[in-house]
Amino acid sequence: MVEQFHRPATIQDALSLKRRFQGRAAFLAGGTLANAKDSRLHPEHWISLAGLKLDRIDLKHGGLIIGALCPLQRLIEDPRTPEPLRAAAAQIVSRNVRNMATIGGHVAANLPYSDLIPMLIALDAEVELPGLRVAKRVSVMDYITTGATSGSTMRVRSATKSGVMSRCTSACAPGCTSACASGVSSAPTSGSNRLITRIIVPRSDRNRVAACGNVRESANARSLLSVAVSLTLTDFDIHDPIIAVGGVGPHVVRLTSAERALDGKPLPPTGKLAAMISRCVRPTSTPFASAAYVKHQAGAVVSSAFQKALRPKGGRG
Amino acid sequence: MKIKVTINGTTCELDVEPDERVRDLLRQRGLLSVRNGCDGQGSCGACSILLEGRTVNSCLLLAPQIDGKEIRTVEHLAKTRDLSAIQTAFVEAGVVQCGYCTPAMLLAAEELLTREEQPSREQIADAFSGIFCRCTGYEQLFLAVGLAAKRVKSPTQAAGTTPGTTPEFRDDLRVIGKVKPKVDGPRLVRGDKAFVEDMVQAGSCYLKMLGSPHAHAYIKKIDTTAAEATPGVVLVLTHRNCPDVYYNQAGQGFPEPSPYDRKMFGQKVRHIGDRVAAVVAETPAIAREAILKIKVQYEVLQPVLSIEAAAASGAPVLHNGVFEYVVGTPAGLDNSTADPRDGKIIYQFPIHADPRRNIAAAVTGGIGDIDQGLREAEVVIERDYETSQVQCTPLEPHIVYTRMDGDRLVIHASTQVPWHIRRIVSRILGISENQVRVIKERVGGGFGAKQDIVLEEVAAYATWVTGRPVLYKFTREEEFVASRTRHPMKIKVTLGAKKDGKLTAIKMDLTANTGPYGAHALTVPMNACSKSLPLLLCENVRFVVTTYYSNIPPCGAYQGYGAPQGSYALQLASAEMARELGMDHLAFLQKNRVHDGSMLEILRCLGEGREGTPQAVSSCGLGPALAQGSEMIRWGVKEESDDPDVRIGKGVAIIQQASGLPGIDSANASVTLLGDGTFMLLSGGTDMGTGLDTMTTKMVAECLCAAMSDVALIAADTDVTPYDDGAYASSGTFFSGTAALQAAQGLRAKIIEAASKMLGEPEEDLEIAFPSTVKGRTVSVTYAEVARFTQSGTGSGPLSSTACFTTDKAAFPYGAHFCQVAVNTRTGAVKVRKYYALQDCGTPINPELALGQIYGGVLKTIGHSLFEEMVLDKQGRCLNADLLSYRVPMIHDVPEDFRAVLVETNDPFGPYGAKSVSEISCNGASPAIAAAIHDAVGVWMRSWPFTAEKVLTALGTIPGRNDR
Repeated sequence: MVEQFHRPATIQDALSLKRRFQGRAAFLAGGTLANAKDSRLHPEHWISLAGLKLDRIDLKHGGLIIGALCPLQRLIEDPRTPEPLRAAAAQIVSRNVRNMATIGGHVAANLPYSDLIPMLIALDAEVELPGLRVAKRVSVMDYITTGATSGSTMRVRSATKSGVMSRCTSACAPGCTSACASGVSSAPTSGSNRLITRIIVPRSDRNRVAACGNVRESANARSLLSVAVSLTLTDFDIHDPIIAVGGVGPHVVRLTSAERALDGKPLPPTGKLAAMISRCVRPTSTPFASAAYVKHQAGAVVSSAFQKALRPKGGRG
Repeated sequence: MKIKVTINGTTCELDVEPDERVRDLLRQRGLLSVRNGCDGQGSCGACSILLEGRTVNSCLLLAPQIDGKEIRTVEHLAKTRDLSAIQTAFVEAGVVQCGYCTPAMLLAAEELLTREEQPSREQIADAFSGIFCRCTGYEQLFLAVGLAAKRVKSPTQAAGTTPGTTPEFRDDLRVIGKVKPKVDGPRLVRGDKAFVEDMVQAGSCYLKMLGSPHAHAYIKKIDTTAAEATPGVVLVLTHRNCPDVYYNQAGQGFPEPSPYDRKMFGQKVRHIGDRVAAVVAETPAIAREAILKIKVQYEVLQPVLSIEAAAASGAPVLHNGVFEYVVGTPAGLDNSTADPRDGKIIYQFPIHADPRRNIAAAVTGGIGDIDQGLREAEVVIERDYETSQVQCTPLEPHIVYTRMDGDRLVIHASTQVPWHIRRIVSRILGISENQVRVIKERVGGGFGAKQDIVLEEVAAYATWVTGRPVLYKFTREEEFVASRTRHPMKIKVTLGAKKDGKLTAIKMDLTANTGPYGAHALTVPMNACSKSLPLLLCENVRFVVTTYYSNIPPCGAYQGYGAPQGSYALQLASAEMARELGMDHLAFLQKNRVHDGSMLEILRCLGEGREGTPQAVSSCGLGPALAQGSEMIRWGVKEESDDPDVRIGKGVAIIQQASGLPGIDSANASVTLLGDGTFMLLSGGTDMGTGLDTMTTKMVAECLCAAMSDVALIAADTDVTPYDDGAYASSGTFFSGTAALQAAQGLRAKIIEAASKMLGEPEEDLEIAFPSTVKGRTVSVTYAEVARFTQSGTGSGPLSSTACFTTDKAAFPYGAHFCQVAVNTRTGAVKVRKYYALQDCGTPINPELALGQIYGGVLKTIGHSLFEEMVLDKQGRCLNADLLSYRVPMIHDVPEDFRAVLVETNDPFGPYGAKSVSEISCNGASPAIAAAIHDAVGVWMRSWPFTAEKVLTALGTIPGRNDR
């Protein structure tokens, strides 16, 4: 039962409300996930973010600063949006939903089958989290793993070329940098406790390319798998590849062992690459898809994304 | 809390609850066009509104979120009763069928045309990408938006001035075969009060059902005390206080072949979601609260979830009660082992059931000598096919609103069978039929699911005993688990043929799973044979049908009524036989198919619970359909893909259905000439969005040389209109249409007779002429003058004619479906790139609506073929009881090149040569796509749906799963 709908005018007011009501309150952005009937959010206090004026898109130092309240459709329509990010957002098929859903709400929901988070990870995007005095930035990867982490997961901080990440000790993917301990909820709960104000997509190297792909059984079905890759191409070699995969665990994961294996080398033939990727994921069978099928498709869709990224003008970041 | 919002141009301040949905808020303010198809999942888009000019799902918005915003609903489009350009375009393009999603579609079109003057196909698809329509197949939306774009740009271009966009037929007729506005179209595009939910009066009660959490269990104890004591609760119903009457929910003509194997509530529950208790309360919230207070103790039994499990020796028995026969009690009927908790089954006549072996019904039959046919064969194949359980998913879930009118019960129903509701409800309530009135409102999609009485009787009983008006609407989850689904079947097909391709033997050995109750248990599985076998001419045919009870969600009627499963098996087997013979599949079909005039001896053993009648085919458009279709698809030309992973293949299937049930169905209509020369048509026909009302109106207008606007229609109201069996078995055009035509013909004779007296000329010298005139040799009189003459103090009285149509003649619609698929060998994904559905429905009465029926039926079954499937866990719980995870086809699932073609024939028995068109459209997709997949990659997909996982398994890429 909702007692109150709060409409703070400032970020600090929003945070104050959250501090005041703690777990009885949740932030509300577009509402496509939070208000849906299968949402696990049942707060007594909604804290609407609509009054925070966080829907702008700005270019700064060549990077894109996207207000957390920017609807996905506006992100698609903005000419400054990098093509791979536009393509990833467009994978959310329903225009009705894209008109409502916000990028911040989408990241905060941290859905395991997110169509957008893999690309944000591939583009080294960060989220801005407001604090009492200063805002801090964390990578999207760190945000989603922290948000979904239960206390049982051991996390090791390690600096990489892509930013600060946490290392997973569970078995969803060898070398996975995520928190995937068993029992972790896949419910869209994390972000409602942690306010995102902006998503920052850094300017990418001129030679850096990215592409996404997904597997779904029908046009509007939830993605069974959602992937994004990015890489820097020098001569015939690929460098600093990022491979983000949704649908093989409780949240989107990075396939770091595959990334390391591919770094600094020519892209292997499609079949070999697909087999490598398949080995890197350890999904479990569900009544809707067997593990063998998901593993196979992960290889297929990741290798297709690499091909897409490497096509001329195919996936500039 | 207060919010300020501008709704359709009017700014207002509203007091709202913090968790109030915008959808509910708008409906409470009388904006009825905002609908609900998914209970707030955001997957159907029926609640679409324009928020700041963009389409959004109002079910996902809380009322405080729209504070300070501008909202538009479809009510803003037409300020008066005149329609906007977009609305007229929708009606004209034939894209308005049931109309439940139409307001949402219109808003999406408006948003699109605001930003794009001439949108591309891709942009159109994107605009409608969030809105689910089960009726239309989406294809005509592209036409509608194109028409609308022209009209928005040139507002002076009037409606009806875009000829050539839809083919027309029968130059000799004025309105038959012509594109004319659907008679209920304007009402639906305006978002007017039309559906059951729009009829609810203030002060009504709400019925909520406690469903069983177990698939198979006895109710040991049930305590409703706390629920009954909840303030605002009006009634609680359980097996202890419901009527002690056995019945079947199938809306079939009496005496039904479906067994009377249930009461309103039973002591035994037979599927998850089966009725345990109903609470009627003054608000939905109170009803839900009271439901939670009901305490139930179950004796849980082992669920039976498959045909194999049901047939197994020692399997748990679903119906172990007392069996009775009204006629034809079988010798040796033994009720000594009956368990009284299982209740009773009453059979109107024998259907070869054996419930103690879980057999709900069985039938065998055939012609010739199957063994001889197989001996004569030079090639014999035996193949097994399997179909899964799929859901009808009408956008408007089942709903009923019941109220008292004095001492009579009024049922506002979203139904295909108003008269069957009246009969069944009155019997259950123990009252006479004249105490019950059923008003069929606009139906937000039926597809067979609304042929059954799945909730009406509970609300009716609640109203009858309490006197309170009651609304009962299924949730989307209830629609999945307690409504109707397509029977899962396993079909073994044995074919024998000579080397030249001539079939010598056909055998179909079919087992079906009817679920917990036997609605349509005999007739749907039998129809799988009776609508597929007569397509192929063979002297030796045999079929064996056995239907089992189980604890899966209930099965029943679903558009096609078994024919999609039978067609899939037999047509794909024919493709496999052609392959075995080294023959082209099309050549094989041509060699064996039915022709105009073919004598169908097989019909003798294919009556529905009675002996059938052999008949010659009265019209058959298969020849031209196959010729045109093969040219369109470039049959025999191998296509190559640019993508090395993708293989292209082509497939074909021939299909048929029927036009109602000769010897069983009946339809009635009456037409009256009014004082000003216009007409009042009363038709029993039940339009569920298909265009039946338009069709019956056309019958009268054509026959009486009147404008369609001069024919007013009231249909499907049991108090007002004459009897009709209902809208099922593809009977609408043939039966209800002919009844309307015959009533008009009768009235025409009376008009001429009266005019003869007025003019003093013999009747044979008179003829009627458009508009509404009787012409003599020298002078003419208008119908208005005839009416005044007959209605005057010296006249014979108002002229009226009533007709009852029954027949023993069948008019079979035929079709040929061709498709081209692209199979990705790496991912297993199957993409239907081209789909051409060529169908012979005789004379297409409403061409644009007939095309819509075809597109809708085909896309539904493309969904069944490729991805739709109800997935149950080991306890029988449906794991995907929502539109999103069940995966209904949306606009992006439409084939890139999707064409429906009407192949004209003129059937001697159909009204103006017409035959049915809707159900047959569901019969081609599975076999055609499966054959095309084989053509592409060489694997036979013998189990639908043909998911990517199954394709990869068939290709040997991944191991098959055996854990489901």
